[in-house]
Amino acid sequence: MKIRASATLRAFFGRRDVLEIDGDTVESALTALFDEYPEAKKVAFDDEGNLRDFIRVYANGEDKTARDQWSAPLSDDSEILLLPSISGGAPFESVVSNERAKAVALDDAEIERFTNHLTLREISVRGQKKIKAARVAVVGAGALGSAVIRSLAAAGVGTIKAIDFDSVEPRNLQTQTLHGLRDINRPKVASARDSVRNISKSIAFEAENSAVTADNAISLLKGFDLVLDCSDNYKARYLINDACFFCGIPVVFGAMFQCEGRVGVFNYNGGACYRCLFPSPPPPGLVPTCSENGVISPLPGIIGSIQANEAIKLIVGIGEPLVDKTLVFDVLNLRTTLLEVAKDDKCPLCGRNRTIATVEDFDYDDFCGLKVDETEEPIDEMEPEELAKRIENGDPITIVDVREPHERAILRFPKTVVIPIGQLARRQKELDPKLDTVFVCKEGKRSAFAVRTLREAGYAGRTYTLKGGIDATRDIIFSREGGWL
Amino acid sequence: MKKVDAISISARAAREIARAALTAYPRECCGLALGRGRDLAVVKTVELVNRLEGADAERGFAIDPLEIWDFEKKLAKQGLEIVGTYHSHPDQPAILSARDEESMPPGLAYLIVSVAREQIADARCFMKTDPNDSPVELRVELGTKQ
Repeated sequence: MKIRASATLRAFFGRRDVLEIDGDTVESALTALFDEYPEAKKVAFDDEGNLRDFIRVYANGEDKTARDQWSAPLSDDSEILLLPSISGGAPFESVVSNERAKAVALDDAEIERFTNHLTLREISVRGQKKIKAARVAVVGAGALGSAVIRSLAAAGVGTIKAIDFDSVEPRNLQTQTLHGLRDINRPKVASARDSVRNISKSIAFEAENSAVTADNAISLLKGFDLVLDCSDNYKARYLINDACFFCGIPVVFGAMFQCEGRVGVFNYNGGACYRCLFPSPPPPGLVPTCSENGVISPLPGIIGSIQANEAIKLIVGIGEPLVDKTLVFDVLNLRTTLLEVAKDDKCPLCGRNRTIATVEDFDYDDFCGLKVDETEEPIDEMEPEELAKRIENGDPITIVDVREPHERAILRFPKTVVIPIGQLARRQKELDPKLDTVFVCKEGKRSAFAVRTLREAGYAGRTYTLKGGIDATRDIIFSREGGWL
Repeated sequence: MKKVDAISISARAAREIARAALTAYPRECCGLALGRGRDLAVVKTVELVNRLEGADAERGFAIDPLEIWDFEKKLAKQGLEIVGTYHSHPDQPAILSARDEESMPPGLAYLIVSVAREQIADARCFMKTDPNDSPVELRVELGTKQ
């Protein structure tokens, strides 16, 4: 029988347009053909032996591309065609369908109010209707959440849900612009609702005053078009990422560290998820947690605004979103970097061999390798009162401060040796094993990590951690420079 | 296969593609780029039917392989060959989508035109030489002659 290949594919068959091949089925004819042109076989089939998407097989004018049709008998005078399948799609799709946009209307007040978008070619009436139809959940009504919620409410997002378990404290007011003095001790989501009401009465605002957990993550987020992760801790980020993956919701992620912010879009259109970027969180011993780690006050406004901008792009379906990319913005030196984030085939959540099937709560300490091994010798804790007494009595004792330099600048602990955790093993000779050694940090977690590190390095002296860290010594131990934060 | 890093497009071909993209808006248009393969020069184009319907045609396209085949038979007489294909992205950037990338036959130039409302915003071109490789972007050289 004859096999003809489209000119677009002919380069792989020695540029011949008609090939005479013996065979009585599509299967046998193609086998004979590719035996003759082994290079063409590598082009036509992938590594798993599947015919590639761009080739269609026709026999006597009928589409026989599906493998199960290849064994049907064909007559001797049959003609097989190998043709290109040329198709494609738009790079990015709106998270709100055109049908839903058509179902909403803009009234006169809204037409006046949303002029900026309506006159913007990229958004116009269709885009603004999508924004009105959109349902967006924001996890965290803190620093990033303040910028995000304000911006989305002003943009005209129809439904906003804010999820936060926390209440407003005075120290929040430096970065969290949703809240004011009168909101102190109120739930952040209640304060957020007041701020949103002040921007627009027509927004359906849902205030969820609870923490995201493995049990409630899916029910809190299901049915939303988009989730903005404005949380401040790794546990929440993994829960949000996993729940959104199972619900098929894209996540606009934002995070900050001191003077640097990051934004990325995860789980969009089959792109990378948070676990592709960070399969596991860094040990808390090495990265100060958010309460220990300061932030320059305008940073959350900048990063949250970029998150809100990504959200609007995804809702309207315009521009190039941060899919498979992470934007890193260093506001101290005004440097931006776009990191490529490849989807990870080995990702336990969205890769080829998935090992995560549900949203699971995990023990953060265990996840980071910090869980106390039951068989391990327990770490002794020293009560702050005991330490204060020993210092006052002038007892010989070594105190090692493992905090970061900027933390020591806030509160200097008296008579300490300063050794960063990373240098402990190397510098253990500086410690006298005959004396009791007490490790201090802010909350007592990193000091436990320090003791374990030192033990692994073979240090034999008596070690303690200061129970509750320096936080627990506020009213007991002295010598402060400036006030305690 | 010869390594190429640029594609030249005649003024006529560019006009034809622009007209097709603007006429089809907000749907995607699609067609074939014809010319001489060795130096990747597009002389003229032919618009084919986007087989997708309704809202699907606003965010995708598909060409009937048999329509390409029928056209090829006519083309042989003109001394031209198919060097690539073009399609438009209404209100979207002129970059390959995942679906574009999956269905790219190697050796065919993929011209993409971004349409923003009533004007052409951008035009870029991509090509795969090996089906296992990522596509590379080709420099688009626009001709000024007729």
